[in-house]
Amino acid sequence: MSRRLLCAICVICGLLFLGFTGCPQQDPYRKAAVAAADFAAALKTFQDSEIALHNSGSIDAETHKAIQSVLLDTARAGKQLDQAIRVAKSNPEAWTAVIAAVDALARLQSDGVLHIKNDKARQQLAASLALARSALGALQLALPAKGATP
Amino acid sequence: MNPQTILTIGDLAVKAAQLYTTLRANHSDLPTFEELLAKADANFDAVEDAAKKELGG
Repeated sequence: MSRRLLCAICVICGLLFLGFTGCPQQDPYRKAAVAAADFAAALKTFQDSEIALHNSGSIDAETHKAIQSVLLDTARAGKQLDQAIRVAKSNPEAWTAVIAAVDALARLQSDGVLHIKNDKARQQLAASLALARSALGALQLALPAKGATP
Repeated sequence: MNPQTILTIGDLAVKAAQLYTTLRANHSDLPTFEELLAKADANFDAVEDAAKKELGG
């Protein structure tokens, strides 16, 4: 292959790379928005499963109320997170608010009341909870280091 | 540069342009930043409403 052909291939590859550096997937705000949407969807799935298990008698009333209480707090914190991501996009200085919101969500998840006595019910909920945790992990990865702006 | 090389380079450039157009078109199908957050808000609202109902409030 001639040197000129190699040069041409390099130039074409370079142009393709440059064309995709502005790709939406690379935007940290978009990454955070994708993770927030995934987290909210996983949370809803988890709640639907928990309610179904409670209605079928697999989860007692006390545990059910405790879980729903945590979900209520988490949903409210989630909306604050969405708002923080919006603000951070127009004002990168506000990115710390997003980090604070994600920290609050992580605390809610770790402090969450998941003392479900029924093994089968606990196992059934484990998958959707794992999805929610995974989305939260993706959200944390999308964030810049503390104190830095994207 | 011989004519065959020029043709090969031209062919590569056309293929690269087609690939670029296809990939960009696929990316334009993705939800926007605002659509993603609106979807997240809708699910958080649904969780909040259902939780309130379950808690009897």
